[in-house]
Amino acid sequence: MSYTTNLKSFSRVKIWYVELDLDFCSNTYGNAPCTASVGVTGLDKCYNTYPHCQDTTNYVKGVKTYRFSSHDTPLPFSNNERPYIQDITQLPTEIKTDKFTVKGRIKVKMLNEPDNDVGIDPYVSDRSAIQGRFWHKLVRRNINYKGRTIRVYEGFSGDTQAEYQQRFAGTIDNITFSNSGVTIEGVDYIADISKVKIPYKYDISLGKDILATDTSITFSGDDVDTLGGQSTGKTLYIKVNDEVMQYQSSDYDSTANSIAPIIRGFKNSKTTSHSEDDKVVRVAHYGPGNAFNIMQRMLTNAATDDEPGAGISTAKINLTAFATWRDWLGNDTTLEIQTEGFFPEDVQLDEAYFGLVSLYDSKSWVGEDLKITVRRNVPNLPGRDMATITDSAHIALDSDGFDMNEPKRFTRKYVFWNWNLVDDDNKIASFTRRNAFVGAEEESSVFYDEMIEDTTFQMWLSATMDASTSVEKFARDSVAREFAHRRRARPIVTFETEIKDSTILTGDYTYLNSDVIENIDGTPVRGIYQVLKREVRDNKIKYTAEEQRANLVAYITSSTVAGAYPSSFDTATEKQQREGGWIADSSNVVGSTRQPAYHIY
Amino acid sequence: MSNPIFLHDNRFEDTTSLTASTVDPSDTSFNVLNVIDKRPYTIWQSGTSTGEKYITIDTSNATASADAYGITGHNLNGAVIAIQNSSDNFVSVTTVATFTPTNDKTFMSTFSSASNRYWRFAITQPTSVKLRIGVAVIGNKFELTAGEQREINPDSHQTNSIGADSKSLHPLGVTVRGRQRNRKVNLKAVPSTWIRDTFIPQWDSWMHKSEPAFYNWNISIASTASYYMQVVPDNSFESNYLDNTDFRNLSLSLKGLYE
Repeated sequence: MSYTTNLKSFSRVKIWYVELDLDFCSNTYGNAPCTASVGVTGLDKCYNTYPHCQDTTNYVKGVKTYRFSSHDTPLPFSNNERPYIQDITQLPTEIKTDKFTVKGRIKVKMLNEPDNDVGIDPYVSDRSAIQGRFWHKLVRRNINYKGRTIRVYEGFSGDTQAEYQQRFAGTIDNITFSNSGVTIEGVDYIADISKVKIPYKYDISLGKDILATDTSITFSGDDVDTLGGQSTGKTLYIKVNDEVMQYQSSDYDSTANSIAPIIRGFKNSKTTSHSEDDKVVRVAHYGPGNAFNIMQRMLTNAATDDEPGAGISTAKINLTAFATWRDWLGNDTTLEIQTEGFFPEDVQLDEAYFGLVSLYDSKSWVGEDLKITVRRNVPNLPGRDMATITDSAHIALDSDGFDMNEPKRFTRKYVFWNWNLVDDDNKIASFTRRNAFVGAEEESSVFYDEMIEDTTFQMWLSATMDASTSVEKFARDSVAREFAHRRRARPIVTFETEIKDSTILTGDYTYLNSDVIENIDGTPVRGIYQVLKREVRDNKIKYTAEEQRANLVAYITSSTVAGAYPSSFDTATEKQQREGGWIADSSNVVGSTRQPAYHIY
Repeated sequence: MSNPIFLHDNRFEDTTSLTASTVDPSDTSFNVLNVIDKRPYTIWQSGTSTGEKYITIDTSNATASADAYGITGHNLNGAVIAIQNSSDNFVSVTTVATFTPTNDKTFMSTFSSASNRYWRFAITQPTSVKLRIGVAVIGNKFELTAGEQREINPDSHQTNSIGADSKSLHPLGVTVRGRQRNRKVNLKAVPSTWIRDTFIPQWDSWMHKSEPAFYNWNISIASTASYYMQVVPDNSFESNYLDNTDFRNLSLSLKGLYE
């Protein structure tokens, strides 16, 4: 029976399976090339681990895999896995708008029992006495465990090992002991993007004094050769004091350590004279190009790249998701707008990344597959399957609740953009453009009767990065979408399901049909909710989901496909209603059930 | 009718000369010593998947005796298993019993008591699979002096599981963890001398430490009902005298995996 079949079965035996890869010398004690000898290099034989090696010169680092399974279930594979796993807790996958939820972290609690070292100690038969507990000995012999690999899988009794689902892959961060056992903490491979700052700090300074009119500049410093960039034909930028300068990578002379010509006073920064040894900053410059390509490069590029990034392996990125949304409104060359970003001062990479994600009305998070993914805030999409969650078939007893989510609401939204690259990026005066939306009705005395401002300083929008009218329109639409979503409270619901419904993942849109929250007439709510948080709890999954705008996005399809759609909204299936678009009446509703009108994205 | 028997005594533990004719070299953890560690989950695995395989002990004692054998944590369904002894490291061989399991569950059986220096399992697998054994025992059984009380439940066990119901009280699903045999062995009015001279030495030697052993409540009428069980940890010795007699009751609480 496959994993999926077992998951959907009414009754099944769920099993955790963990593998640890610890170092293990490939040599045999005392056999060439190992020169260790009992009585000469040590009182007893080693344990084939480096901390206790008696001939470190000839130590050959290999790997030994230790296997473990749930302590209260049948053995999954009978492959010498030890049934020690008592509990596994994994931080939930969660969408936040300003940072990746978590650096994936997992805690595996295991039993600790007396062990005879068979299969663990290669020279167990040579010892005069065997004593002690499994984990105590293993950790003492492998005090260098930190950074070694841990893999966590979940499956069901009867699944083959290949069918087990990997739930975590990372490195051991810590091992702690208590009376009841041992806890292994693992962290995932994803670099902590918040620790990366841009631009990269190079050792470059002016080689001599320059005047305000000079267009040839000489540089010095250990990293001076990086001024040539990674490839020819690129436009690069530097900042000296409060002046930003532009040049072509091909104009850097690596012999003379000079650039000529160089354009002074870029972005209207003030052209002045500068002194020898003044610090030179290589401006982090992204684009121009498709925003989703830029996002991906910010994750995968090296910190020292011309477009600096977090250096995350592409294996840890959901490349399909980035490609899908990159092409959603046109391919890489027919973009909404050409996106471009300049970062001349210290900025955390995640701040810049999520600024771009937010600008494109999107969310980005670490998914259950341990890959960084991205998704536009589009509640309905042709071809998208959407699970329907009901009280009778899905939501567990006594598990639901809701919150009106007041803190996320605002009545007016300001976005300042077109930064001058020099002044404080958190001050209005540093930006020359503004878009504003004000909810006059919401602020009136008959409604909320208060003003709540939300202000964004957007470093990714500049008037020069594309046709000015295009940028203006894009900025207005972007702000409008966010304002439409947040001008009134969007309830957050929480509920639990049995693990059969665990295929609903963070970021998924679901159709909720439940009295977890009721309409004004007391009928159960029916609407689209996006899962923002997913917590695995033993035999259940706890979901936190946010209500989406009732106004769906209208899609216009080709005539051949459209032929399958009825002309009337009322006779369309629920799925067709989510995948198409019908014209609203003068009251801005569609159909006889007066559903909210569609909107143009 | 047979009395309940335990098999804990093991010739394979008599000396350090336990060997296997083949060991899977793919992982150092498949050591043959795993079959005497009393843990079914640590296994010996053969290095090849064809031919006859042996697990052999040289007891260095010409009168090393045995009358029972048991194996658990294995994949020997359909294999031909011979229990053999020898005085000359199997130049000449005496086969005392043979057995072909029909599943991969725990098995135990008895044979007429025999003595010799070398003992071994000789196993021929039916298909091309590497042999796997968690615990293997050839030794002397410990037979209780009386049968279990009537109205026993030889299949008593507990299923550890957790379920969930929907808001409408429809059952959504059940996650099963494991099944455990629970056995209360009650003997009534057994001679106090047997308790004192026969049972208590066994209790003191391994039972009170909850070391697992093969157990069968009546091997003549339930030969396939052999389980790998232990006296529950944190136990107490329960054997009260009957009033004004030289007889005592005896009660043992056992637990083991439900296979």
